Amino acid sequence: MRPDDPIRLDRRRREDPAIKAALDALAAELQTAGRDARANAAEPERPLVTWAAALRDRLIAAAGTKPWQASADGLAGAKAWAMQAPDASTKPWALDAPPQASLKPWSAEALSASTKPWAVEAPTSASTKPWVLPFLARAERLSVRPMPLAGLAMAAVLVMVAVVGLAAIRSPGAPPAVAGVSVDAWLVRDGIRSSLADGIALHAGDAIDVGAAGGATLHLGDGEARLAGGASLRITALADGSVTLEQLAGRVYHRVALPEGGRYVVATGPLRWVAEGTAFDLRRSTTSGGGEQAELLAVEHAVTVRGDDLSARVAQGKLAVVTLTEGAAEALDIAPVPPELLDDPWLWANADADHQLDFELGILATRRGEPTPIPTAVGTATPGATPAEAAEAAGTPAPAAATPAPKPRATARPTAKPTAKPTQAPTSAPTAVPTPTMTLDLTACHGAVLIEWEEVKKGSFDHYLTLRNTDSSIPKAYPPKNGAVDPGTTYANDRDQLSAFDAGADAGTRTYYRAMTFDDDDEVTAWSSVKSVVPKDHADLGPLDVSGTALGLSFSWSSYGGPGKCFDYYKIVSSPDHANPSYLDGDQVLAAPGSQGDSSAAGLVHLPGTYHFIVEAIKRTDTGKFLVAHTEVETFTVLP
Amino acid sequence: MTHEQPGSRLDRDHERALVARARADAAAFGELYDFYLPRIHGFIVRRVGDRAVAEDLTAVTFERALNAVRRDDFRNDAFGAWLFRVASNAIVDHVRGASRTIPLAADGEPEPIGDERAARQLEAAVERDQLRRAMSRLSEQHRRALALRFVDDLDAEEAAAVMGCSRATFAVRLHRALNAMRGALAEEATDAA
Repeated sequence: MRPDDPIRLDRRRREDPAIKAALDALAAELQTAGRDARANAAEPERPLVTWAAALRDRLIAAAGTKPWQASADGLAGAKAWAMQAPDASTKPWALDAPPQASLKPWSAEALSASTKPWAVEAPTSASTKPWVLPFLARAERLSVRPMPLAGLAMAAVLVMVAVVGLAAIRSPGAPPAVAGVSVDAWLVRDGIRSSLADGIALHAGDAIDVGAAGGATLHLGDGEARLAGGASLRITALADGSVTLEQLAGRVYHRVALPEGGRYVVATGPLRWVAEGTAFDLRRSTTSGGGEQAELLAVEHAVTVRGDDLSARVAQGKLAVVTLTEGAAEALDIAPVPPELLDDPWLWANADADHQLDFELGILATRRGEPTPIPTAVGTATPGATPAEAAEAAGTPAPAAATPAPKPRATARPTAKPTAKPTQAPTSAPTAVPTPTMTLDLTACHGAVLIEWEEVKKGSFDHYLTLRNTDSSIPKAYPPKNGAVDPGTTYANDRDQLSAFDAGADAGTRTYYRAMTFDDDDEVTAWSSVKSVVPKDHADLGPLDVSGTALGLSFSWSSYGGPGKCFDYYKIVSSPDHANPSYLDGDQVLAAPGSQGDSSAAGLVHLPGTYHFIVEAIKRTDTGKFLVAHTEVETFTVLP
Repeated sequence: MTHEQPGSRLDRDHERALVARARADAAAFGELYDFYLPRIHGFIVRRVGDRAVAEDLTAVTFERALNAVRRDDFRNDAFGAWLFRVASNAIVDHVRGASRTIPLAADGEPEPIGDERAARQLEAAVERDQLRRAMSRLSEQHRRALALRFVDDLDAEEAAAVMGCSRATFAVRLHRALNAMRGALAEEATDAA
């Protein structure tokens, strides 16, 4: 029995009234002391109004991309939140706030807090994200043929002429498009959102959104588009035997089967993926700040990807990864798909569904030949087959492309040819292939790779850890093997800790990661598939301008233009003796502006003397913070 | 004991309803945030003593809260108490992580951090010298209970969540802390005589 166990109290014995009175008096005295303690420390204990509003804003922005987008009511709620002006007078923390004059160092911002448009910025509309023309930076293993704009335009004209001519000769009409079985899926038609019903005819302009734990199948011609949880797909055009789609977010397995001459095109932002063959798996993930990644696995035959100044062919069995920042293609990487990525329940389930429809399975044929556990047939849109992996890829809803559609090509000819089933070759001693049981989401932030995963709720738990390697071999073990290393910044010993970072990978070099969960004996109890990313160096915020006025110091810098997901706050840092002051090294912080768009601060009081100043953009994770971007150091003398 | 009840609280049913709605309604989470932000921020800053760190840990607390309330399996019975526990865990994580860089006070001694820092604030605010000295004699456990109750103004459920015990156990601990203080006060009086 523990000493504090209440059962040890003798409940029959009544406390001496004198003792009770003495304890009450003591409690009252301490109550007063506690109130005084809070009052004496009142100012630092109160949250700054602008910081509180920025945090609220950030939480809502994060929330706006998640479950309540799946319901109309929830979306309305999020909008209602967003429409609430940050009326400081109605918030408890605002009521507690000291008078504006004493709101240093953010008095200016505090004064304008109630008029700032942050409230209506919260759930940024996915469809309003401007996309700029992409440029292409060559990367290793790049297989790209830049096309001169003039040549592209000429080709487009020729293609249009050819298509118009063909259309005059042959007009096969719109391929049939019908919704199949779906779970937690929504049809958005003419701005009205309704549950996606099995059998409903689909038209150009329709959009289908799938909840995080849902799934949906669309019958397009004789093929299918199978949407994983979190996916969003819009039908752009159904005409002339062709299908044109826009994949707005998440992961979709496209099984193409159209009449001869029909084209199957999927747009992701400024990119167009044109099916040459009959099956591919495409996932689109994006960051709230505009960074985006599209990954395509060519399952059967090839897929051509095109963008402005970009054209490449992804052959069967190859994985193409295109990274875009603010609509510009930073890199296209095409490489053989790592075998580990085929250990994917989503792909197995699709292979099973394709098999039932008598389609060829391409690179999944051998995979399906193995006696691996296939969760359920996705051909019937069972979300259970995909949730973890699909959620991994889904990210936040992606911006819709504002770029004009590409000029059609007259020569596209995907084939719809149901063929004989591949022969199954079961082995005599089937061995189940273990499936990844953790999600892993990588973001190449400036300065570090942001690593995120979802909570592992089952099994014995001691900690999470993510390993890194320069190739895709990362065994599920600790200590690391095969050249994998422990970055040292991903250890998380709380199930609720779901993010970490790695600032030690080489910028510009594709780097692979696997997240794992360990028990008390350092045995791996859950793990993710291996994923890769190309780390980036710190971003440059340009020169820092410091000036002094009677009201204090003023600072201005260039705001951080990278993904919002990679930013939490700025720190204005000073040091009298460090030529390169650093917030993470413990130098003095004058202020911490919390909005990414901030580019100035004024009225900061500082002791006289000569100091080195810097502004740093910082990202916080559950295992620590990292430097994302910084200004140049400015040395300034503060006069008495 | 009849000491003053903790300050204003959300009505329990209303809080439960807000938490239930917060899964699909951002405005409900906003209401929870608005109510708890100053209390959570104060709780944290009292323990870490640095506004920037407190802001980080407060953000961590509410981000975890947001993620939690949106889960189907979130146990919606005492959100406020749970929130203080999350904040307390965030502080513990921070203290562990910052153990190599504990700031020194003016006297060169390591500056207290965590519950002990809050307890010292209570001690410093006690007007009566004898009572202050009596409090300094108490065990860490007793000082912690007093700080949670009187400096942080937590109710029994919230304080119990932070200490990782039941409400009844916390009540016992608080009672024993006051009793210990009474005893220490008596010793102070004897010493003075």
